[in-house]
Amino acid sequence: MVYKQQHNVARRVGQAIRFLLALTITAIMIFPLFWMLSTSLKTEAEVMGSQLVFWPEKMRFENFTYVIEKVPFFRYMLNTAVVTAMQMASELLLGIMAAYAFSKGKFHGKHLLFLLVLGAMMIPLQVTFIPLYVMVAQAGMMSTYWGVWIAGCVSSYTIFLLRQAFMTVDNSYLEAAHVDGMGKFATLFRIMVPMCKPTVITVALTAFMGGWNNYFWPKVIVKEQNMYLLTVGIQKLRTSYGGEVTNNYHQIMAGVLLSVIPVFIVFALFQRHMLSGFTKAAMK
Amino acid sequence: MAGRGKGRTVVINNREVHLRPEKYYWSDFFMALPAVLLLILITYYPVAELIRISFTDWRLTSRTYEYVGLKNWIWLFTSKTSTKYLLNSAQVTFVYTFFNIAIDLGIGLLLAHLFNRMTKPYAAMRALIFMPRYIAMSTCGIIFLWMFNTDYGVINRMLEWVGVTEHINWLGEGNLALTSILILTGWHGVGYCMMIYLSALLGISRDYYEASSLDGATGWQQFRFITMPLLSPTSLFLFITTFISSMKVYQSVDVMTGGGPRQQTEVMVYYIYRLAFDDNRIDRASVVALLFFVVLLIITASTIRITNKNVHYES
Amino acid sequence: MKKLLSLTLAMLMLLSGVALAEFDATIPTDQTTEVVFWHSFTGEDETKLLEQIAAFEEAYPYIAVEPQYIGGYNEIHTELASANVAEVGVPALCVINVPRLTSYAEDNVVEDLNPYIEAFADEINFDDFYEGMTSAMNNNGMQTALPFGQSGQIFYYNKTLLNELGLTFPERLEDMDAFLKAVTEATGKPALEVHGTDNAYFYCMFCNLGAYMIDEETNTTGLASETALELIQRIRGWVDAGYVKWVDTDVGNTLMLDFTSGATASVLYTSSLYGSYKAKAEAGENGTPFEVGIANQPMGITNYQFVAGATLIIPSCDCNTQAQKNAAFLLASYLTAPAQQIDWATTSSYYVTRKSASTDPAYAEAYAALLEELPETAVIDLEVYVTKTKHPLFDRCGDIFENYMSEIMNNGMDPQEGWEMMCEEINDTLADI
Repeated sequence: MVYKQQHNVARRVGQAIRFLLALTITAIMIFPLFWMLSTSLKTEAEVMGSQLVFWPEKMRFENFTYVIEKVPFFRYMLNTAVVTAMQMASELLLGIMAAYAFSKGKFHGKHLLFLLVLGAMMIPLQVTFIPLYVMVAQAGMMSTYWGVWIAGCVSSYTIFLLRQAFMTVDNSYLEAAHVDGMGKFATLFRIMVPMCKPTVITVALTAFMGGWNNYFWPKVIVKEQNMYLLTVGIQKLRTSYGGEVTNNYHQIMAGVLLSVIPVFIVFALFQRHMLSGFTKAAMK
Repeated sequence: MAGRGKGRTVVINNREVHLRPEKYYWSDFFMALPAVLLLILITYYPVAELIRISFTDWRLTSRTYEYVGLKNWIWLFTSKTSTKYLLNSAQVTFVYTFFNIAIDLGIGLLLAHLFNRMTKPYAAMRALIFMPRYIAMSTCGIIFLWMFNTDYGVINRMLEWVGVTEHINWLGEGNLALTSILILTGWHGVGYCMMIYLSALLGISRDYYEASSLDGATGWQQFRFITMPLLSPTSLFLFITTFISSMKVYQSVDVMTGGGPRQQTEVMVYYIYRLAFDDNRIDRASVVALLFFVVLLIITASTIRITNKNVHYES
Repeated sequence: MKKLLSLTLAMLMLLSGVALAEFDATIPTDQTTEVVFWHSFTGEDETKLLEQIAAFEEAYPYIAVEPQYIGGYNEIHTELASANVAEVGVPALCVINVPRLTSYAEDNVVEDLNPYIEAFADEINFDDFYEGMTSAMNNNGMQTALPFGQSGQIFYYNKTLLNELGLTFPERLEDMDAFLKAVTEATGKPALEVHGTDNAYFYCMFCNLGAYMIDEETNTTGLASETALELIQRIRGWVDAGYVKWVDTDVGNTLMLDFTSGATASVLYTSSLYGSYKAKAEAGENGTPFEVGIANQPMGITNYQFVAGATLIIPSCDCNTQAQKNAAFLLASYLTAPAQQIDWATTSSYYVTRKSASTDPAYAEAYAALLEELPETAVIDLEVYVTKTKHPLFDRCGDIFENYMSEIMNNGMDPQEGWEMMCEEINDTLADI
């Protein structure tokens, strides 16, 4: 009896230590985000002062108004939202169609074309951006929504994942739909997509994040101030006269905070899907 | 609708069975076509263009260019400045990739073990650790820029408490700058590795552990002989994906150091970008981009082939 | 017969060639010609610019100007490059900085302004520009641009403090050591802060001692001379002794704060900040109020001062009609005219690019007002301003120069070692066409 009690106590202590350790590590990981938040609420004196201030005496929101006034912040957000929506739409629509064709369809060259799709996964934007830039410039699409959209209009990763999901749908459903007289598109969107909802949501969320957090390509393509995307736009908060870098981090952090709020909202709403989706995708 | 394939003849139970020919549909083809065409436009076509541009002397600002044969390729391999910057960027990129993989996978695995409990608090903590991944790397870069600020950054300030009076110039010195970038990307990506390893861990049957405990195996032995081998497919997957994304790194470098003090953190993608948009030499940038692409392909292919031997799949 | 035919053919070709070469300087007055104008100015500068443009439109009712703020010089450059490739959306008039002009001339990105200068001689009055400035924008006979918002690299010093100490800012390089020492010993603080991330500021000293970045004949760097090494070691001595601070991070802020708060007696920075520095110093924004003085780059063997800043170009793209380009030239003539330049200088602290501004009695009143607002302008002698360089690889070499100077001054690199490595790298870059 005593042995079991001692064993239990040892276990409890072990668990407690483990929990404390986990808590500490989580706190460290979260610290940069906390620091961003606290900095955005400080005054310049508190940020540049001789003493380290963890939480401002009084929370100040004028940094946020400053950011909104200094750069066309909401315009940046709009730009990002539009391009992200465009990319999500095309990625999903074309991806679903192609995934259906590659999973359930039968046509000449299906194998070859799918290999093509897979191969495209190996060709990153960092390699193709120069000719793509030339293409966009020659088409006169610099600093336009279309110019940014083109680099993310389809994703072979999306097609691959959706195809995996569609392949798990039993053919009997398709045959039943066929007997009922449903056309291909109807079958696709009224039966297969709903059946593979988790994957579709995951893919949609990946597309959203990819579009919202895009930095490299928009930086290359968008040079007109009004058309900047959010990620590039807030970098502009760091420069002032003559492109010199400044130290007004309280305001910069305010801008950063404003720009991540939409992502956090999406995260809060779709948390379950995002986490499980990522892990499932890996477990092919 | 169109076409029928030829039927196939298969042998089942020692009898020949002729299968009905399958039907092929044009409509399926057209469903796949838009995506495939666009993909070709934004991946294969640019690669072909890269090859073409590499044989010209095109500059960013000029509207005309001429074909100059192998001039740029010769420049790439023989010119002193080219070899210097190319080797430099290759070295920086590989060093960065090596450590990034080590940090992401290593710490990710440790965290997966630590957070391997299915209670609500643990789930919340896991979600918090995963959170940085939602923010654009460039934006995270600004946060870390501020934290690593030499004069007013919180890290140097906190170091003062432990007696480090002279402020460390995190971003002003070659190796330190790379370390700072690694800390940033590690912080950003560790959550992902943790989650992947965690779901893999959950997939390992407890029977293995119980059986080996009865045989007297220690925790460490269990880890080495059960966990690690069974996690190898996951590790391979993470290795390849982290490798590819590390080689492509740009955002963190651009925001934190801009190539670092005297190109000491200039990674390959940054070098390509600089050649194209700072030096205005699109022709040279194309050559380096092609080289980068080939290296990426070769290493990925060989990694898969080599490690396939060492990967254990559950039967 | 054959000979006559070929002769006639040759004559025809010659005549048509002559016809093509005739410059069409017309601008239709019965319809509006639109001129898109890309610029890089914000705040007060932009307001003043828009004012002047509006006045121009009143004077020329058949020309409509659309000014667009694109961003800094780098943004304008990439945007212009892309528009050129697309042959769409190229502006008729554009602001760009001096260093870009060489490659623009080579790549035929801009119009040769000589025919325009001839055709609109009265409007532009070209000879009234300072020669040093216009020749900086002349590449192999092609007039690439017109001077518009020019600036130089000068020393701002605390006049009040120097008066107290009974010192004057040295005019010769050899007097620098004594001066710097005296100030630091008297105040206990650095006497000078140098802008360390843009070689434009400190390169002048090397030139005035005869060490140039690129020796065109040998295609190697003139910085490989003993003179250059000695100067580097000398500056390093100043930094080590605390007389000079070499600023290479957060430069803009640091220089401004340190100067206006009295943490340093002088800074080496761009002349276009005069107005803002003067305002801050006299208001005592960051410390006690003081009077601001300006000094030129110190003389050595030569007395070069380098012209920099914003110029006006007319892109050569065919997407703009000749009439539009003509109109653009008229706008450029207007903006660079003496009266407008004086007005512009009062707001922006850029140099007045016209000789007549200070000599012609017609502008005497306006010029006097400028001098009242910005008195130290009189110290600057625009006649000695010259081109820094037109070599296409200068920027690359300049980057290497800046990097090594930073390492030597701030990161403890040995001057001799650093100088050798730097020269080697620059030579490699020059050999790498």
